[in-house]
Formats: sequence, C-alpha cells, structure tokens
Amino acid sequence: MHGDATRGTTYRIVLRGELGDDFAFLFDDMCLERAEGTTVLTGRGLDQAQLHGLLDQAQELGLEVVSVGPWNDADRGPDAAREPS
Amino acid sequence: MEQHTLIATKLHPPDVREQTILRPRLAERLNKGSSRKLTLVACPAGYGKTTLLADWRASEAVRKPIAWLTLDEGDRDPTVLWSYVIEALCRVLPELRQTIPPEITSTAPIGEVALPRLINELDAQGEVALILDDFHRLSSGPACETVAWFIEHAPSTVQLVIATRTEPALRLPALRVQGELLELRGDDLRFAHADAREFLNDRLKLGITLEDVDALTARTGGWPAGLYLAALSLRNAAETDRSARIARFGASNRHVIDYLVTEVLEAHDPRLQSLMMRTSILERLSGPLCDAVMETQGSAVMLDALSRSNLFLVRLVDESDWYRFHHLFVQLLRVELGRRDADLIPTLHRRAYEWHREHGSIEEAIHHAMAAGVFAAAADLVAAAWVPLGNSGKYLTILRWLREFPDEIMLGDPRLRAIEAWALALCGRPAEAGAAITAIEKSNQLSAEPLTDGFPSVEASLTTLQAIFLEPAKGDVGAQLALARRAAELVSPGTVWRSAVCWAVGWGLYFQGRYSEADRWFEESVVEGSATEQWIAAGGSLAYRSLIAGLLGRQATQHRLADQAERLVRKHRLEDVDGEAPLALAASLMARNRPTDALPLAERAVDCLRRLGQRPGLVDALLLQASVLRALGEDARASSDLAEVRSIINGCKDAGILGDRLGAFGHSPAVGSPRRGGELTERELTVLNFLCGELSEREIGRDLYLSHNTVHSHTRSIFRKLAVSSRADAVARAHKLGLVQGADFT
Repeated sequence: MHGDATRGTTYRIVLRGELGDDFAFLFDDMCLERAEGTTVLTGRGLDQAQLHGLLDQAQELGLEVVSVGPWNDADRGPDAAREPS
Repeated sequence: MEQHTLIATKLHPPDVREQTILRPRLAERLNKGSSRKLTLVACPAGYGKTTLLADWRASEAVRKPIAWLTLDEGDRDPTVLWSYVIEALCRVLPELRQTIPPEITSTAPIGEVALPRLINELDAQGEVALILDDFHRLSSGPACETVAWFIEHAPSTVQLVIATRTEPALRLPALRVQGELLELRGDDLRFAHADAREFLNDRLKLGITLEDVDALTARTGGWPAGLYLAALSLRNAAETDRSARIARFGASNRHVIDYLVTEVLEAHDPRLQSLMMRTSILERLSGPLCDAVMETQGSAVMLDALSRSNLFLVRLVDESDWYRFHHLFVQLLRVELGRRDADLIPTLHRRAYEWHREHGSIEEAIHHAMAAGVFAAAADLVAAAWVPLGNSGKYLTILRWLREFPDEIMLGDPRLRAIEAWALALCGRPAEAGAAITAIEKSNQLSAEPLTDGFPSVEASLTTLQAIFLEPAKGDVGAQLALARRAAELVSPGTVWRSAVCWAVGWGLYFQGRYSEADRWFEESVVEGSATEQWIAAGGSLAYRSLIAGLLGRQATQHRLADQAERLVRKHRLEDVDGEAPLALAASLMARNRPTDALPLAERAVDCLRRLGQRPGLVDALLLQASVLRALGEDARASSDLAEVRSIINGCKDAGILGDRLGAFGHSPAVGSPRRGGELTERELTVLNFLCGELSEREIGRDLYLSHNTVHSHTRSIFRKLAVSSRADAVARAHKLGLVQGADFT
C-alpha cells in the first residue's frame, strides 16, 4: 500500500543497520535497499500522515534514523542507472 | 464480555525477573527525581525502560507507595486515561478510594471537575509516585494536555515518572530551565561492558569469554534488546560453536534485529516457533485465546514455560494468566510470520476477533475484525458498543474507532456516520456534527432499517440528536420543537430512546410557555426513562416538571418533584451533567422563601448549563439566579445576570416565551417582599423575634430548621436594614419600632 503516486511526495528514509527485504512488510512495502551499513527506504506518493507512520514504525523497532527527506529521482545522478524501477 | 471495565493488566507492572540486572546507579538517580515535578525516562525501544522502572518500584515500594499504569492508544481519551490513573493511585493509596470514584462516569470535561478533585485529594495524602509507562502511545492531544496540567498543579509529594520513546509534549524546556526535570536517556540505559558481563554470564549463565562479551557489546552498541537477542540465539549453541557465531555476527553488516530473529526462532522447538509467530498478531495472549487462534490445545502450558525462559514474553497479572510480547520482539515475529506464512494472517485475525467477541474485550474484537478485513462485523460491534461508552463519557474512544474504518466503509454505512455525528456532538463539536448530518442527508442513505443501538432508523437517530443537543444549543425553540415532534413520530414508546425524545418535546413546549402540554411529555419521559434506565432524561424531566408545577402555582408538587429529581441525580452520579435538578431545587427553595439556601444551587445550575452550551436553559437559570440575588439584596449581580439574559435572548433566533419572562421580571416584586416593619422580610422578622429572646443563633436555627449560616445571614441582613451593629441594639430598635411583641417570643 503505497500512497497515490500521482499525489504526495517521494520520501527517502535512511536507517542505521542493514535490514533484509522481508522488513519491507513492516514499512508498507516501501522500496527497501541496503547501502554501506544503512537501510534506505523510498516511498512514493506519501503524505505527512504516512511519513510519520513510517517513522513511528522505525521507532517501534528501535532503529536509528539517520536522515529523512524528500527525494527527487532526478537527483540520483550516476546512481540512476542502478535504481530498480 | 468485558466492555468498559478497567483492564487489570495495564495496572500491573511486569514481574521483576531473575535474568535482569539491577542498576543501583540508575535507581539512585530515580530517587532524586522525587524532588522534581517530572522524572523522564526517554529512549528508543529495547533499552529496558520498563524493566528499570519495574525493578525500581519493587525495591522502593517499601519506602513510599508507587502506582503503575501502562498506557496504550485507548488512553488518548482523557476520560479513559484518568479513570485508569485514579484506579492506579487508589490501589496504592487505599484512603483515596473513599473519596474518589475510580471510574469516571461523568460527561463533564475532565479538566474542570475530575482533575481538580484529584489534586485536592492527593494534597491530603503523603508521598506517592506514579509511573506512566509507554507514554509515547498518548501522542500529543487532549489527554497529553491534561497530563501537562497535572504536572503543573500536582502537590510536591507526587513524583510523576514517565517512560517514553519520544519527547512528550509536556513543556519540557520550561521544566528544564526551572530545574524541575530529571532525565534518563539512551546513553544512561545503555549497557556498559561491566553491565553486559553481569547480564550475559551471571544472569543468563551463558558462560562466554570476556572477549566475546566485549565483542557483543561493541557490536550492539550496548543496546540491551540486541544483547538479549544475541543471548537467546546462543543459548542452545554448543560452547565450542559460540565464539565462531559471535565472530560471524560481528563481521556482518546486518542490523542486529534482522540478523538474529531467525536465529532466535530456530533456537526453539517447532511448536514454540509456530506459537510465537502466529500469536504475534495479538496485543496480549492467554492460553484459551492462543488455542483459538492456532486451532490447537495446550497453549497455556507452553506460554507458561516460554515466559519463564524468555524475557521477551512477559506475564502480566499473576491470577489472570495473560501475557504480552515485548513490543520490539513482536514486530520481528510478525516479519517472520510474513516471511513464512503471509496468507494465513487474515485468518488468524478472524479467529482472534471471534474469540474476543465471545470472551474478550470489545476493543480488541473490533481491532481484529478490521485487521481481518471483516468490516461489516466490526461496524456491528461499534454500533452495539457506542451507547454505553457514550453514557460514560468516552466520546473520543468512539471517534478513534470510527477513524480506523476505511473511507469507503464509513461512507457506505449510515449507521457509522450517524454514530460519528453523535460522538462529535457529545465531544462539544456541534458544527462538525451538524455538517456530518447534512452530509448524511445529502447522500440519501436514510434507509428505514433498525439500528442495533435501539434507534428504528438512521433518520430517527439523527433527528433525535438534533432535537436533544444541536437545536437547544442554537437557540431556535420553534425549530427545535418541530424536530422533536418529528423524532417523537419516529421513536415509539417502550423503546430505549423514547424518554430522551419525550424530554426534547417537553423542552420545546416549556420554552414556548405551553406548560401543561409540556408537563404531559415530561411525565411520559420520566416513566419511560425509569423503565429503560435512561437516568439523564428521567432526572431532567422530573426537574422540569417541578419547575412547571412552580410556574402553575402548585407548590406542594413543586417541592416534592424537586427533591425527587435531586435524589435521582445524586444516586446516579449525574451531578456534573445535570443543570436542571439544582435549578428546580433552587426554584422550590425560593418559593419557600429561602433565598440564601437557593443561591448555591442556582449558581451550580448556571455553571452547568453554561458549560453545556444550552442557551434557553441558561436563560432560565439566570432569571432564577437574578431573583435570588435580588431577594438577598445583591442588586448589582442581579442586574448583570439580567443583562446577560437580554443579550442571549437577542442572539437567539426564536427564544420562545423567554422574552416575556424577562419583561415580567422587571415588574414582579422581589420574592419575600416585606409585610410589616419597613424593609424586613417575613423570615427576617421571625428571626428578629427570636433574637429578642435567649437562644443562640445556632439554637434558633435548630428551632426554625435552618442552618446556622442561614440564620447568621438573616441576622446580618437585619442589622443592615435596622442600621445597627449588635444584637442588643437590634432588639432595642425592634422594640422601638414596634416590630416585636413586648413579651419574650420564645
């Protein structure tokens, strides 16, 4: 259950520690990737309520939030090629 | 099925376990918090907050009483929250129970009535601590506001300890600056190497090398939950294997919780693994509930064994055999369940819903029904449960349930939308309630199906809501009466809502000055209300009947009914929501020439009706209060009341008979007008005669069946009117003016 991709914002949440793909289930099936000791969650079409819900979930698991912010796919630059669609 | 009784498990801290380490350094810091307004333990999940506080409570309880309450989302409703807090305090301060009813059934706002009362009662008690665990579940909102208020006003003998994962909205910066905040945070609760050694080797008896302990501590950052997960995963491993496993763990980048959850599960036998995963959908576990969810037997024994060996399964209350998984651990179990058996999840929820519906709590039944996607069943439960909840003031709880329904379900179910309108009105949000009603009417969903809360249709429900709450607040008596009559057509005699509807019709007629007609409707309301235990309606109707009797000159009936109304209100603890009984009693006292006794009652009526936002009722009460004040010579206050009356009437679209009553007020003599002796009232003359005799004021009071205060008040009034300042002078003057007989009156 993503947000409606035609509305809302794309957010990226970075958590400390690498989590397996199964954990996406706890994060409303967001896109979950691992990178250098962190887990990166990307969610499209999220509103504020959903964003806070995801942060709450991270907190439930005792996960450390490294960063949260809006994400523009165009910003990815050289990484864009590796990004699964 | 338990519906609205307090859930015992919230009130009992988890047992102190052998496997946990004691932290004397932290306990000392907690003790220091008793001199500050707030002690805060704020850190993420898995740091051992609950364990720390449970241990501290166990050791400190010999020195002072420490109350415990574990919070959950349900406590966001302030009525629910403070019912639990009061119960928690009563359990450790038995004397408190005499003076404060634990279950708040009043529908008045908490902050105005129940909290100040609590503070006063706590003032009289000695030192006490109150622990609120899982405070983050409250989030910010009205309940949190009430806690902020409590912090500010609680006596210094109360140590409030809050455990939370997030910084609560409790004006912490101000408390910090004032030095009133004691904080323990993540770094304070983190395990140092020495702590880890004690935990892993002394308590859990793992017997691993000190190097390995340090490696684990470093790898987990001293995070207690992480260390414990590591310990669980190593328990069944061969000693020779352990170092290797720890090394592998150390080398991996995977987060502790991901790395270990599989390992931990696989360290248990398959039956236990299945139990743990499948029951992870439950908020709390018992043997019978687990049996139902797993469609098996023998869960009780397994839970018992598991709770002894696993810190993540906590036994809640000794007698009741309920358990709860640690919040963090249960999430991991859900991940595993999702990984291995996702399709089963809705079925598990459905079984849980069915069990709770028969044997458990309605809240959990609703939660599981929604999780199972069985929204129709969930809607039925809400529809059946909302009235008792509303009657005990838990409106926010009702709104919370409704918010959890998906939009499509809400829009498609007029019952739920009607309940939402009621809850909004009861919460004091009449504009939103009105908007909800308009939306429902526009959507053409007013089918004629009977509802499970006793209404014969959605239309009946909404019309009744408008007639009782929304229209009286608007000040349009004519419109209210029309709606009330319509409601009376829709709601038949002998049904549970009839008394409220009859009250509404009576009310409209009363404010149109059609007293005899109104009386018939109020009479029906009393009969119906008593038969269906609708005490608010019955009490209000009795009070109006009394007022009507007074207006029609039937004083004996007036007095009888006023007393009846007051007794009924007191019996059912409706004092805070009923403005009419005190009003009727005040009117009855005025008719018996006792303005001094009438005044506090009139003030109470004015207060209550003002709070309830009921404009015509407020005018009624203000008119009576003004007449009482006039009789007591307090003309300034009386004028200000009349001015307020004038302004309210001007603001009403249709104030019925009230304009005429205000007009008549100016011309009627003050009640108890003087007969003889200049300005003294008849009562004052009686007292004056007694003053010429030998009895003390107290004895005079006894003879006249008045309180000492009342007699004293009359005496003061007499002195003022005779322009004297002593009893002897008053007697002399009375004789001189020929106000009393020469011989002794007594």
